[in-house]
Amino acid sequence: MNIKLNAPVSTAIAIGVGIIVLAGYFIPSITNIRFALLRTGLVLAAVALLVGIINLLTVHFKKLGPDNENSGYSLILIIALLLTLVIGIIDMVQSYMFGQSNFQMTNWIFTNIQLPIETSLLAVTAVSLTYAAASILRKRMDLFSITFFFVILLVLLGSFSIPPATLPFLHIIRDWIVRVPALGGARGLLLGIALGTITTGIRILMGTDRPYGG
Amino acid sequence: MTDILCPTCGRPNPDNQGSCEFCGSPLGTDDSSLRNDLFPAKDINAPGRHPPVEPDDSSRLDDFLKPTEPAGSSLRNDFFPPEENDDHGSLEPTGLNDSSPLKDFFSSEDLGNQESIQPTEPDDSSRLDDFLKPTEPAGSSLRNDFFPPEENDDHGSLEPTGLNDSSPLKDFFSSEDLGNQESIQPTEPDDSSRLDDFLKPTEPAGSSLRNDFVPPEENDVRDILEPTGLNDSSALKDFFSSEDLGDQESIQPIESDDSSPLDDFLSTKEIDDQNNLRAAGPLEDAKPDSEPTSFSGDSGWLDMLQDPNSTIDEDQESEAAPVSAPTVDKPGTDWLEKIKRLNKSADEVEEDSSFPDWLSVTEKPEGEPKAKPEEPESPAEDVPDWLQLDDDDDQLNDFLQKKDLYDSEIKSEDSGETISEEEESQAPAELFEEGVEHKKFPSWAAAQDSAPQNGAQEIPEELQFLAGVEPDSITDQIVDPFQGEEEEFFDDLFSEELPGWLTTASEEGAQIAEDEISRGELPGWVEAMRPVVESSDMTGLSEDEDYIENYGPLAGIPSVLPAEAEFALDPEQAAMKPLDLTASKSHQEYVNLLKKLIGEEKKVKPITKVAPVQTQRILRWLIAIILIITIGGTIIFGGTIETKIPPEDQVNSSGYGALFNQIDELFDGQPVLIAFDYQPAATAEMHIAAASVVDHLMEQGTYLSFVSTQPTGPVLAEHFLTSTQEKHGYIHNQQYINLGYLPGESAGLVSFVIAPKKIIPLAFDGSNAWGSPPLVNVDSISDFAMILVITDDPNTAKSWIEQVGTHLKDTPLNMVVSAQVEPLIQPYFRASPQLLSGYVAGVIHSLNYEHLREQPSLASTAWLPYNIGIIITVGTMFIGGLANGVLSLFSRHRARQIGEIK
Repeated sequence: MNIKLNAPVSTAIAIGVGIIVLAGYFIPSITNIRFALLRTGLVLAAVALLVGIINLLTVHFKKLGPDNENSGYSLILIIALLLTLVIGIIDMVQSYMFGQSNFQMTNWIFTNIQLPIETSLLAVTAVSLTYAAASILRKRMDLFSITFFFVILLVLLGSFSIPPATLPFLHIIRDWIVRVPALGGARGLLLGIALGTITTGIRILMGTDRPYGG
Repeated sequence: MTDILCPTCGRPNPDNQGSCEFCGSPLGTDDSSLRNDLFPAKDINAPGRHPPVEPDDSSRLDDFLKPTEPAGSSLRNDFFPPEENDDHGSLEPTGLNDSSPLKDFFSSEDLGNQESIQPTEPDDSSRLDDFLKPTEPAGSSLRNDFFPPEENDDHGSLEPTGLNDSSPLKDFFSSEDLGNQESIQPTEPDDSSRLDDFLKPTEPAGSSLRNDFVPPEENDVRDILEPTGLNDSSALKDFFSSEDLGDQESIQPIESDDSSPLDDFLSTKEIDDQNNLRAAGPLEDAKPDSEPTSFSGDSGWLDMLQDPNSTIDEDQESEAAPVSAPTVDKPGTDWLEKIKRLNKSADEVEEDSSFPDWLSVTEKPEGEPKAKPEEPESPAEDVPDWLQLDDDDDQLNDFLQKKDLYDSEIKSEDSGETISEEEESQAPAELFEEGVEHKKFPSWAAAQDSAPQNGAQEIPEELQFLAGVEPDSITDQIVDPFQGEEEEFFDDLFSEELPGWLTTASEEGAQIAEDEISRGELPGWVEAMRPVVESSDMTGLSEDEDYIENYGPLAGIPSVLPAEAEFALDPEQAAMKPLDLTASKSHQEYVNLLKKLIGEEKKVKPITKVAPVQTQRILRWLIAIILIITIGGTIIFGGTIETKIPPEDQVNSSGYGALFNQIDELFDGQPVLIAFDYQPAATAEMHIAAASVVDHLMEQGTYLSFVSTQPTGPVLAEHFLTSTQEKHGYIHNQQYINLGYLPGESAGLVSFVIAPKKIIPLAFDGSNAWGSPPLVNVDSISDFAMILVITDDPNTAKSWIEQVGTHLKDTPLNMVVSAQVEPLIQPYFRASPQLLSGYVAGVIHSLNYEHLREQPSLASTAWLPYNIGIIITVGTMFIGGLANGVLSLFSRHRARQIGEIK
C-alpha cells in the first residue's frame, strides 16, 4: 500500500512550527522552543543556500555543449563560481588556520569585479529610467502619464541643491510630495503588506496555502 | 342361384328375371346401390380375378382414418367380434352371448350355419374400424343392430336362431314373413339411396358413415350369412332371427376389388367358392397388430377407391354399370333385400310408432326425401307459437347449417386428419337432415355409382376424392387441387411436409399473379384524366413551367419533380431565374460587406515596418553619452562646492538630525550593531550616505559589530571600512567585529534578537565574535547601544523595523537608506511610538548630516556631480518627454486626419 506521507507530514510540521513561533510572541515561557525552531530554520536556510548554489552549478553544467548558443556564459559562470568558491575557501583556511585578517583575496575580487559590474548595471538603469521617463508621453499620452512625468521632474528639481540655482519653492514642493503623498502612499502600501502578510500567515497555519509543497 | 329383390316391392325374383314378377318393375339393372357399386357382380364368383390392392395404398387411407377413431367404440369390433378369430382362416361367430348387438349377431354359439365367413384381413379391418369407430356411439351402433350376431352352427349359412328377446326390431321382424327362405336381394343402385333412407333416420347423430354402406349385402351373402342362434336381446338379432334365412345358405362375401370398409367383412369371395361361409370373424382381434389372413390381397379395396381409374376401368369392363343398366347377375345380399322388402311392406301398413325410422328400409321414391324436411312441422304443431320456427328461423337454420358445412370444408382442406373428422362427424348429421339425398353419401361409395357423372355432381366436392372421381371426367368443374390430384393429395396429406397440392396451388397462384402484374397498364379512365399540356413553344413548356415528364405513367404532366439529377439543368439558366426575394437596404449592406471581406482576403497586405528601434537606440546612446560626459567631467573637474546649512526646524524634524543627536550621545566602547544590508550596486550611494554616520560613530569610539542578512554584506562591510573609514584605522576584533552573514532573513533577525551569541557564535574570520570586551555583556540585541541598518531595500528596512525594532527596549534603531527607501521608512520614523529613531536618506541627508557635523565628507564631494546628473537627467527627461509628447500629439492628429479621410 502506497501511502504518501509527504504532504500531511510537511503540512503538520509547518502548521505546528508556525503556531509555536506565533505563540512565542505572546507566551514568554515557550520562548526557548520558539528559539530552537527558529535556529533550526536558520540552518535549513543556510543549507538551502548551498543547495541553490549546487543547483545553479548543475544547471549550467547541463547547458555546456556545442548545441547551446549560451554555453559560453554558462562556462563563465561556472568558472567564476568555482574560482570565488576556491578563493573563499582559501581565505577561510588562511583566516581560520593562520589568523590572517579579513579575507583579502575575497575582498579584492569583490571590490574589483563584482562591485564595478553591479554599479555599472545600476548606472545603466539610471540611463534607462531616464529614457523611459522621456518616452512615456510618446507611449501613453494621458493624464496619469503626464502627472507621473511632471512629478518626477519636480522631485528631481527639488533635489537639486546648488545654491545659485536652487529654487526654494522646488524644495518645498519636493518636501510636500515626500511627506504627504509619498508618505500616505507608503503607509497604505505598508498596511496592505501587513494585511497580506497576516492573511498569508493564517493560510499557512490553516494549511490552506502550502508554499512548501504537498 | 340367388334371388333378386325387387327394388319396388322388395320381393325376391330369380336372378334371370329382368323385371319383378310381382310388380313388374325392372330389377336392379339400374341399381345404384352402394353395395353393388362397391362390389361388382362380376367379381363375386371370381375372386381370383380381383387384382390385389397394394397394402400401401390402403394403409394411407387407413392412416387417414385412424385418428378419428375413438377408443373402445369400433364398429368393426362390434361387427366382427374378436372371438371369432379362433377359427383358422374363417370367421365363425360363435358364442355371441354378450350384450353387444353385433357380437350377438356374430355369436357362433347361436349360428346354426357352419359356414364360416372368411375373416377379413386384420389390417383392413382395423383400418375400417379406425374409420368407423369415432362416428359410432358406443354400444349403439346401427351396424350392430343391422348385423346381429349369427350362429354359425351350420357351416354355410347364418341363421338367426334363438330370437328370444323382445326388442322392437324383433317384433318387427317377427311380424314379417320370415318363413320364406329367400335370400336377401342385393340392393340395386337405387337401393343404395333407399338403404340410406333406411339407415339414416335411425342413425344417431355422430354415428359412423360406415353405417351407410354396411347394410347392402351381396347376393351371396344371403346364402352364406344366415343369422342363427341369436339368443341375445339385440334388436338386430331379432331382426335376423325373424328373417327367412332358413335356407342355410351361407352368406358368401363378395369379392370386391375395392377397399370398401365392408370389404373386410364381406371379402369372403373365396368362402363363396367353398360355400362354406362362416360367420363374420371376430374383428376385435383383427387389430393392426394381429396376423394378416389370406385375404390380405383383397383388403386394398379402399385403396382402389383412391385410384379411380383402376376401379372404374374394371367396373366398366365387368359390368359397366350405368345408371340405367340393371345388374342382373350381380349377387346381392338377399337378406338385405328382404329387409328392404319387409320395410316396403311395412310402409304399406301402419308402422308401429315404436319402430325406429331408420329401419324403414323400404325403398322410397326420390321425391320422398324432399318431404322429409316437412316432418318437423308435425311436432311443430304441438309447440307453442312462440317456439315455432318461422321463415326467418328456417333461413337462419339453413344458414347455420351451411356455415357448419362450409367450416367443415375449410377444416377438411386444412389437413387430412380434419377431413376425416369432419366427414365422420358431419356426414351423419347431414344425412339425418337431408334424408336420402346422395349429396352426403360417402364419396368412395358414390364412386362406384353406375352414373359417374351424376354421382360426381351429387357427391360433395370434399368427398369426391374418396369417390374416385377422375378430375378429367369432370370437365365442367373448376380445377381443384383436391380433385385434380388426388393421388398427390394423399401422398402429401400423409407426409409430414407441406402438402403438394398446397405448394402447387401457391405456385400456380403466384404465377398467375405475376402474369397479372406484368400486364400492368394504365386504365383507360386514368389515361383520360391525364392533363393535356397546351403550350405555344416547341418545348411544350409554358412560362411558369420548366419541366414536363416525358416517360412513365406521369408522362405529359408538368411540374413534376424530375427523376434526373438536378445538375443536368443549365446552371446559368437557373441563375437567371428572377428571384422574388426582397432584400432590404441592410441586407444589401451585409452583402456588400461580405463581398468586401471575401475580396480583401485575396489581397496581400504588405507589412509596414516601423523604425522606432533605431530612433530609440540613438536616443539611448545620446542620453548615455550626455550623462557620462557631464558626470565624469564633474567628478574629475568639479571639486567641492559650498552648500547652505538646512534650517534648524528642518533638522530637528528630520531623521538625519535625530540620528546625529543619538550618535552624538554615544560614547567610547559602547557596542553598536551596524547591518550592511545593501547590494553592491548601491555601494556608491550607500557609501556616501553612510560614510558620515559611520565616521561619526567611529569618532564617538563605539565598538562596531557588523552583521548582514545579505551574503555580500560582510564583504561590503569590510569594503566600506577600507574605502571610507580607512582614516580611523579600526582593527578587527579590537574595534569592530564582522559577525558575518545572518541567514534566514526575518527568522534570522528574530533569532538574532533573542540570542545573538547562539545564532552567530563566530565572527566572519572564524574568531570568537563575542569574546571582545564590548560584546561580552551583550546577551541580546537590546544590549547594543545603537542599531544602525544600512540598506537600500525597503523590505529589508521593514524587516529590521518590524522584527528587531519591536524587541528593542532602549536601544535606538536607526537607518541609513537610499533615497528611494525614504518614503517607506518615513512612517516608522514619524509614528508614535517611533520604531525608527533616525535615518539618513540618500546624498541630500548625508550632506545635511555633514553640515551638522561640520565635517565635509563624501556627500560634499559628490554633491556637484550629483546635482549635475540630476539636472541632465531632468533636462533629458523634460526634453525627451516634451518631444515625445508633441510627436504623440502630431501622430494622433495625423491618425484622426487619416481616419476622417477614410
